[in-house]
Amino acid sequence: MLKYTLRRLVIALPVLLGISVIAFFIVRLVPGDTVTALLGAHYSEAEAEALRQRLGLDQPLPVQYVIWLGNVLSGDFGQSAFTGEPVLEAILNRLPVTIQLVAISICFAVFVAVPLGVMAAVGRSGRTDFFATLFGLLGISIPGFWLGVLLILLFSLTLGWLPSGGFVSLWDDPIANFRHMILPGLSLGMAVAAVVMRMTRSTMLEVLNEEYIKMARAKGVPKRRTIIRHALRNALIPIITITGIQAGYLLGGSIVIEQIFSLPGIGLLALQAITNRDYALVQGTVLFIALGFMVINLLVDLIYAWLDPRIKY
Amino acid sequence: MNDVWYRFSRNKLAVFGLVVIGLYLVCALGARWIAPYDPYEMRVESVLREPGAEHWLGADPFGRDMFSRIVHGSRISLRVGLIAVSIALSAGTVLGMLAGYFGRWIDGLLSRVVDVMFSFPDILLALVIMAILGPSTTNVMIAIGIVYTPIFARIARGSVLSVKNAMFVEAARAIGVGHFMIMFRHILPNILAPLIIQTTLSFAFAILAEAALSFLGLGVEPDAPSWGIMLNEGKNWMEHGWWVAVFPGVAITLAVLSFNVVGDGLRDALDPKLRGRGD
Repeated sequence: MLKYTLRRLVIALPVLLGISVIAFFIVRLVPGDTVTALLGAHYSEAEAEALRQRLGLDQPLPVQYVIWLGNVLSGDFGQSAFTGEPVLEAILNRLPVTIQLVAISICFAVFVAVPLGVMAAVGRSGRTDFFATLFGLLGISIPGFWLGVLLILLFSLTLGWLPSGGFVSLWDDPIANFRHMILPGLSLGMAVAAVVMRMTRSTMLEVLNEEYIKMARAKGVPKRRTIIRHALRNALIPIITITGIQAGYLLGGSIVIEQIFSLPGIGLLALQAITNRDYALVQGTVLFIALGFMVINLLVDLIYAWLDPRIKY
Repeated sequence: MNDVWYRFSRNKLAVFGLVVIGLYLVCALGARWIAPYDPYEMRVESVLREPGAEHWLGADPFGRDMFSRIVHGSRISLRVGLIAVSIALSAGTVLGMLAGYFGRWIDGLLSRVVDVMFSFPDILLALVIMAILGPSTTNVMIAIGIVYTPIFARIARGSVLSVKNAMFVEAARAIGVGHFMIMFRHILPNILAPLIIQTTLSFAFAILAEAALSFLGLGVEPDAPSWGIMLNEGKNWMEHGWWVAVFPGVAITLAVLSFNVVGDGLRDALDPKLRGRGD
């Protein structure tokens, strides 16, 4: 297992380097000049040149990349051109919101999807199965941003039960925090719930046909116990894997959902940075989200290897 | 081929999806004749008019007919889907086949590039590419095409690896057939099934991605009748009229759902061993 972990980490290194290259050069491809963006409309050529030198923009691109990478590795991601806030600080301040959003979405997905998938597989071709299949299809087809709009229309504007946007910190007021996070969590988690439900159903269908399940039933083990203790336990590995992979995708999905619900997370920060052409912030958020995505995928692979003793690496 | 069609036609949901896609295609091709109003025409007397006889799906805050805009929106969605998926399919297939067939450093290099691209969530990569290229329909197609290229590359590479040592490839090689002829005349027809399935499913993703980018203001031109733009405008006015936020979403969902069920149906028809698999 240790050997496998080390091997995966070694494979991850060139990918990490590739991510940093893309994050660095992508900003250089955006039309417009960082210096003119920072100086505004009125500036002299001397001022521009001085700033260009101070920012190291007069150096060749590979040199700029090496300097930037060195700074990033020492925790200096630069400053936001618009707010002056250090990029790392901006990201870390908004990270808890996105983590909470992703966690709520995953919890919703798992608590709804796994029981529904199990029930659908057990009662194959019945009403529950039909409902679950419909849920799965709609879940992967309804755009999260439209679901968010619909939920606001119903629960905020029509019923007035929940706020339509904004954020309250969990530490300031846990109940208000939950009220603000429930609709974004549902909007983001729906697609994940659909994918996890489909995976649970298909895996359970395979496992329920195994000989050891028939043997357990033949020996008189109650049906419920057979399903939970024998079938579900063996079906859990692919379910956990797919849930983990989906957690990575939620980082991307959070960009749209945070915008709809005005949640001050990393997704909204990235979107604002891109629309404002705040280059240092774009680099920082893109790098951070891609790293998060990669780390989650790496963890999923490691958990998979750890959970399934049949897999030899 | 007849077997595939027979198996596909027995899947009622997939046939339903195909019919809906057909209807969208009719709307896209005949938008000028089907839409009762000009999708850009603003009528003061129709501002936020409820759905009814005059405006079947109501009118938006600028007095534009929602039905006409949704019909014209199908042109944008299907065109973006078609061209973006074509870019991804052709680029991804060629790259994946080169990697799988030649192996060695070509495979190593392309696989690492694909790994790096997979490290970015789709929407983030598309957003950044759109920031570089600027909002326009053509650029949305390019951005989505680039984002989905690695998926096709990975599928093509895996499929080539599974057949490149088959007897028919060895035989072609033995009689002196060139590498590119082997790849495109002998291997490609044998790896088409997974590529066709992915093409259909990618259509759904492309429509979703275009809508999401336009919803965020980094998609097609701001005044275009894109479903994503309509939804973005609608969300600010839904307090005054639910229809402005509901119908564009229905159009997106129905299109995505149709491509998804057709993709599932094709997967079952082309490869019955995979029948019933969720993902």
